[in-house]
Amino acid sequence: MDRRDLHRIGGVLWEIAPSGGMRVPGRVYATPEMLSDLLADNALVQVANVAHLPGIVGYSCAMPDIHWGYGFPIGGVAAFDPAEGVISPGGVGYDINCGVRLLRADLTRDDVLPRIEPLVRALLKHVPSGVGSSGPLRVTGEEFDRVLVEGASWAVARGFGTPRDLELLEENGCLPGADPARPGQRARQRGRDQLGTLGSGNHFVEIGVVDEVYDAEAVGAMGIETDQVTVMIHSGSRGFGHQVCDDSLRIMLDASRRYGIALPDRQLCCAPLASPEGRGYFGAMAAAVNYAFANRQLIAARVRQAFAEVLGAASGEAVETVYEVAHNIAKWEWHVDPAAVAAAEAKGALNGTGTRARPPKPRRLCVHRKGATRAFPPGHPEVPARYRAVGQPVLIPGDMGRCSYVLVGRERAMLETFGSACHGAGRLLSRKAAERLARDRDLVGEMRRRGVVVMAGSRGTIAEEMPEAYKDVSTVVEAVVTAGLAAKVARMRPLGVIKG
Amino acid sequence: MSDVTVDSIDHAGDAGFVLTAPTLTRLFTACAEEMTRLACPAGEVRRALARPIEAEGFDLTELLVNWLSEINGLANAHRELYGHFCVDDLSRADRGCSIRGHADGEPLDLARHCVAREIKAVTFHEAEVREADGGWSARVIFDL
Repeated sequence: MDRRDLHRIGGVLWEIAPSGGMRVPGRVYATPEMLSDLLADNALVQVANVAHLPGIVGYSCAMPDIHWGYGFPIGGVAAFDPAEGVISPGGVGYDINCGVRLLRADLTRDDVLPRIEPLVRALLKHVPSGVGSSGPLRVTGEEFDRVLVEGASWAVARGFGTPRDLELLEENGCLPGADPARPGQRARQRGRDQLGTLGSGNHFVEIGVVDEVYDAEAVGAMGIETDQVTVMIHSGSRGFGHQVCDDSLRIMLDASRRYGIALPDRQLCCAPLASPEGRGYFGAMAAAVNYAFANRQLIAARVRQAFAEVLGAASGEAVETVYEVAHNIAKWEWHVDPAAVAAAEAKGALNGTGTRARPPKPRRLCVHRKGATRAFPPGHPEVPARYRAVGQPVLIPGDMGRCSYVLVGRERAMLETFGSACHGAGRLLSRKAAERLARDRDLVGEMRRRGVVVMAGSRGTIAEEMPEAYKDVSTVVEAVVTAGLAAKVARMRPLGVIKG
Repeated sequence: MSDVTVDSIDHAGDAGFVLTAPTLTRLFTACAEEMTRLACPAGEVRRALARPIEAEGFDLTELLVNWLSEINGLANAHRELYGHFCVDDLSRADRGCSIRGHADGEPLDLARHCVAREIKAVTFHEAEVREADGGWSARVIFDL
């Protein structure tokens, strides 16, 4: 695919016109400066590939942090009709319900800076991190089933956090429809001692400080202010989710052949949503989604433990959840067809602000987000009461050296992207290229000179996750804001990070 | 001199390789060895235990991904590392292939094995097994 295949719709929105077996156009959000990186790998081909799937509604969308994944691109969003559409494990990914939780501490930068090193060390002690990390909690049998059905509330019921946490998690930390009988024995084996562990790769716990506020009303609702200390947790469903995906792919490859679904990439194997295989995958995936919700709830409890140990019991107790988002997930949601919105807007049926004069009718669709975040606007009934006036918090981590953002969802996202925005900075360098760039460099020392204490659970992780390996998250966020999908609320700078 | 060639794929977020081998069975064992090297580039893997490995696939490409996934899944579930692989039987037909073999290795020892990264999964994305220049070639991308 080259530049000629992209037609500029306007601003930061580009379209890939249907060709070959594509059933709908592809729509990509990117600044003109991002295009050369985008065209350098296969991410845009993957946007087009997703558009081949049966029952896809409107567009195959890609957020500005798009990069080359497998099956769907990372940053891909697609929604499917319940009768004609499919569900695909490749649209969710291996790390099912990988996501981000933001916590706030009742502390300022000056409270924490003198103790930042012991605090990061305490996080590394309390949150098992790195390759194959396992924790002290071992859950088996019926108790394991409860984790898969109850999600984060399983952890809260056992003293890891409070009911206040649950109100502030996407889906309240529990996706309905989990079938604990679906995941196989090996998935259960891989998951039994990994609850409350970070894992490896790009997973992290980051202590940050709010250094810029853009929306006073929204930060007020979130209980954060300039100079306040925050903690961001990025993890998912660990080996349990990976195995659920692996096992499901084999079933879906057979199902795709049985249902005569032509695949441009085997990783997009899928089954009709209404088929036994489609329902089976949803049940297994929802179980892994709930495992991940429980996992992050346990990690949050261990973050509180680390704060209490280093800064006193009151500091640990005062660590509160701001919000939590999932970014690898398939869910049933109500949305309008964005192509119908675009057609209506072209005819002047809707005004330019997104206020709906005669809105297309919302339909119940199965939305796949693979490296993308739900971004519901103010007033949406699924946004927690605390945030309903300002919009759903959208948590956007950057790399470990620059900054992260809190945004809120906007109405435009409901009209164009099935209520979705970006999920992070997006990788710029391959892991090998990052390793080459890091050779003979003291990255931990460099980060320390930038004011960030970094510790890692695995060898090699810091090099692979170096700041230069990622796009500048600020440019990604600006593209999302320019598109009107979300609005900026606050920016955080990192002070200390543990990597997996 | 090695009977195998390996070229790495510079995937944006993950990693992969294109590997050639003189025979199909060698292709399967060499891909497994290379997958272990990707996770653990240094450190001897002793032959302290053996795990039987069985896999099926619609064609050779699916068979290879399923073979590697089975090895990776077993290693993760049992916290073991395998360094030596053997194919006892590989059969292929138009609509179904199967493989039977074993992986030899030992319990994972983080103090001795230099584990650089976790292989979350072996993907089907752009995976391919084909005959090439009198031998065999495989392309595999891993989720890290």
